[in-house]
Amino acid sequence: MAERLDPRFDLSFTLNGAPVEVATTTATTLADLLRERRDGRGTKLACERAVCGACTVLIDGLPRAGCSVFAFEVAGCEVVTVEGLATDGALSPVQAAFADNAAFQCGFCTAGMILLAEALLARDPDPDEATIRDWISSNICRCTGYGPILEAVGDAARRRREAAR
Amino acid sequence: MYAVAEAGLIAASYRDVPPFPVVVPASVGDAVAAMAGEAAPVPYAGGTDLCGAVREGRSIGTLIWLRRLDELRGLGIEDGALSIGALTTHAEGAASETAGAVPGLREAWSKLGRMRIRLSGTAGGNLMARRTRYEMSILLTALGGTARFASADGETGLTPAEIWDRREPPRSLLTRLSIPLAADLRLDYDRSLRPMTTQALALWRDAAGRARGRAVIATEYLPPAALELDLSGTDAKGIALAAFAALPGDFADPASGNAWLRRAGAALLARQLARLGAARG
Repeated sequence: MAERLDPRFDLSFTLNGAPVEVATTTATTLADLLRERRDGRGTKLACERAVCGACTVLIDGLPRAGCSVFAFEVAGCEVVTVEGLATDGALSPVQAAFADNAAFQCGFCTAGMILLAEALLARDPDPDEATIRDWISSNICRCTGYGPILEAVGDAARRRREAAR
Repeated sequence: MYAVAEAGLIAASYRDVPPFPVVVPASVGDAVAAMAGEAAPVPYAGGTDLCGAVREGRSIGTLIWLRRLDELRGLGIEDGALSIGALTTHAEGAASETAGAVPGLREAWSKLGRMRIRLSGTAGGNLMARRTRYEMSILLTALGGTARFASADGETGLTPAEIWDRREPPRSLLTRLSIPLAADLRLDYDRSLRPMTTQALALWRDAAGRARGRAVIATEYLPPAALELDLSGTDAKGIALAAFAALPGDFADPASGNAWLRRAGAALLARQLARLGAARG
């Protein structure tokens, strides 16, 4: 039996580990909901058609372009944004690696890049350079030339492995 | 702001779309019924294209959200054909051992999109987006495959060319892709000149044991064109030049002229024939 969702509805999901309930509409994208209703300005909007990846968020661990996911799709899901990565003020290993490797200039793509790297390292804790390139090429950076980003992801992988020992 | 938008100076926004009802089918039968009965239904699965399409003017009456239909996901061998569920993601397809029934298909599939898109984008969505830069249509054309549509009137099979011509039954739903497993079927896919041109080559043996081949060329702005090959010779360059002599004279776009596409396509094809061992390079 098909379910039917009304154009205006109450949405429940988990955002950065905390339960969220919010009234929204079916036409609202996840990125807009995060930015406008949850003060989640770390989710950047640029191309708004799933190409650049600046709005990348993790939905049940999967990197998705928040600009092109309707908010209703995350009902019951775990959503992670860049605001949810630091623990007690301490940057995550990926965030710290991006900072230490100066893997950004204007910074507009950085949140999406970091979340993409988080998704990669959750699947493959020891990726080779080709794998890192394959994943990072999902998102667009117009400043760095990607070199520092690739180095930061490799560095983050090392940090995560050392922390796990 | 809207005055500016109406002047054509900025793109339409998905924020202009009024809220719409969403139907979440529990089965393909539910989905077909929703396609038949709902107002202006728009099927939706991977979520990588629709917002872009809305910015280009697509409207949504009722969204039919297919993502939970696991029966439309995955690959299998049925009646001598490779069957690919429409909701199979590119990542799933590229990792599928079943896809190995067509040598070269997994490697080709792994080149579609980047990882973030491959994890969500689907085989069916790639085809139905009808974007010339998308590539499932190229692969399916080369392999002689069809797309199967379900509607209230039953099932229909269409070639990719027929999909480009929008000949699917009204209010139908793409359920799977089907690739006939001809003898010795194999695929080579060359993207080295992308976005100027992209080319697939499929080789197989027909029921009489004769070597057969089809090259498919596409560009950033043109849907695929198929060229049937005469494989009676053994010189790859000769076979390739003969094939591209048949490329329609109007197959050209603002970035790639017809003469250049003939030369580049023939050069790529000669390499592809050599890679698949069908002729001497």
